Amino acid sequence: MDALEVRELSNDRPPRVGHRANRAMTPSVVPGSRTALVVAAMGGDDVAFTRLAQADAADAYRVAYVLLGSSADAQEVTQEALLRAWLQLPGLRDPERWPAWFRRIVVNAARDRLRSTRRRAELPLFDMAAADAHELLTTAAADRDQLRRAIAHLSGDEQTVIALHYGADLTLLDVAEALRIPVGTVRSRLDRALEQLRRHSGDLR
Amino acid sequence: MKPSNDLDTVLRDLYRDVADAPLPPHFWDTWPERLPRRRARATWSLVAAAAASVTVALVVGAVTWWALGARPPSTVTGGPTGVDTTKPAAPGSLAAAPDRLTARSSESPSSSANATAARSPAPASTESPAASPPDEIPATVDGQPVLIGRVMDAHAAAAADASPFLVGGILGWIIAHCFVPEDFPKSPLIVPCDDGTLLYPSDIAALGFHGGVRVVLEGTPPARHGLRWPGDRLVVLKVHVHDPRARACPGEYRERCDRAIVVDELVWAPPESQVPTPVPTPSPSPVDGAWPDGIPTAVKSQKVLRGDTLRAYLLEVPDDTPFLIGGSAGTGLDRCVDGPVLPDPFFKSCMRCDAGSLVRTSCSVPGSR
Repeated sequence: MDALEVRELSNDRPPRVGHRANRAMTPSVVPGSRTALVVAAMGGDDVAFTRLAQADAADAYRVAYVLLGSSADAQEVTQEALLRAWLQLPGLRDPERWPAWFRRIVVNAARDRLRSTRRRAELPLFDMAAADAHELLTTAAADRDQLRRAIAHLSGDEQTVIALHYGADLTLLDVAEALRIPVGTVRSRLDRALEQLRRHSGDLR
Repeated sequence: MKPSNDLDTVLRDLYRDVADAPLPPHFWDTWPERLPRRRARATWSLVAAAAASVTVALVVGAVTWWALGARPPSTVTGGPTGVDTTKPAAPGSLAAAPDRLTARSSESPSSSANATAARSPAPASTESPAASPPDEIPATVDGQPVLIGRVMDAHAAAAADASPFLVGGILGWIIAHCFVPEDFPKSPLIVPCDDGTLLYPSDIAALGFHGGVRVVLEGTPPARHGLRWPGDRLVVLKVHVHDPRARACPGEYRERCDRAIVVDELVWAPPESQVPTPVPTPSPSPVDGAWPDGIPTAVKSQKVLRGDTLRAYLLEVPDDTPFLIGGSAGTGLDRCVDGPVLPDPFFKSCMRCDAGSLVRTSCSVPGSR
């Protein structure tokens, strides 16, 4: 599979299915689509799954990276999540739900990693190796550094919500789905986190 | 969210470096050539539904029977392991398993037989033990994923602490031939040849020695866990790495000790009725106090075990008393004796075997290198 094909698959996101009635509908599987790959992979087609993995690994890596703050950890978690997904794929009830389902596996794998490494107190969203050294000389950079430290003081759940919403650019609904919590809980955690960030980061409003 | 607009912008900027980072191209270098085998759910959905129906019927029947004043049978053998599920499970025993099985185990083709095992025992498989595929291994136990093969390797390598995880495969037991350094540590976590109890992701015969991963089954020969000679049992084990005892290993061995996969508990095994009978390997018959290849049948009045006699002994090892085993270099069995030793003609070394842990220590042989 060439790069272009991967990109097409990445952009070919199925529409969000938000209602139970819609989920119950039989999806019309377009040959070559992501759903077709999911269906084939569910049936044990590892080539189809590899194509699916190639299409979605970048998104998974980004989610893992913002949660873990380390490229190396994010790569390992992405691999682990893909393999978990392969093994658990027969349990996916609706192939159309693959993106959300897989994202949830990625988030769970990343959170497991965070728990196991007990690195919560570190700055999870900042990879020193990737930082621009010159940036540290600027005022804006100082603010950002202050904000990073403030984020590090948030609870793990609040950090996760912040990272997924602002880092992985997920909607509150997506975050709720990924964490398997009500969207109201996501909103309250986010509000609480932002309030603390405003308080801790001084000049920032 | 209006009041936090500035903060929103700063936060998005803050994550931009990370969020825009592309997936490194070398990511795919470690992607497995072949994905771990699994059973497609759809294939067995009907079987699973049937098994679920039978299970529900049995439960309803038992409840009804109880309500009518009759005692249910004291032993229920319909669980996945075919053991008494009415008694508390001993730690590490097979009886601990039945209630924990979920997911694929309940969907496996064997589970329909399990549900009715109390009435009609499943037919014994005629498959060779080495040919047993790991398809029957449950995908999860107690909601925890069962890791197999490369997934297990990756997880063990990435584990940062001694948190337990579940691994599955075919358990084998191999004694290998290797040079034993004089300073090899006496740690229960490692053995010189990385042999002993190995967990295979699939067909042992096809993979050979290097296809398995050594697991530390401490102080207890597999027989005590209800396991038999190599490859006859699919298992799910609760294991951990980063065992605290690794800290006692000397420097150059520390990492190896740290990576050792230590078995905490056997959490699942298939029903006894489905365990294939091991295929015996013919052993040479001793003639005049020696095997045909010249290895003595006894040393200082202590019997040298090999072949079937060794296997039979390993199934019933009474304690940790050292014992002697014999064999020819290159056939898979090494010369391994306790006390005065037979020199190894190939490596000019020797080993000492302890029955329980298979820990071997080197011993000096005059003229050895």
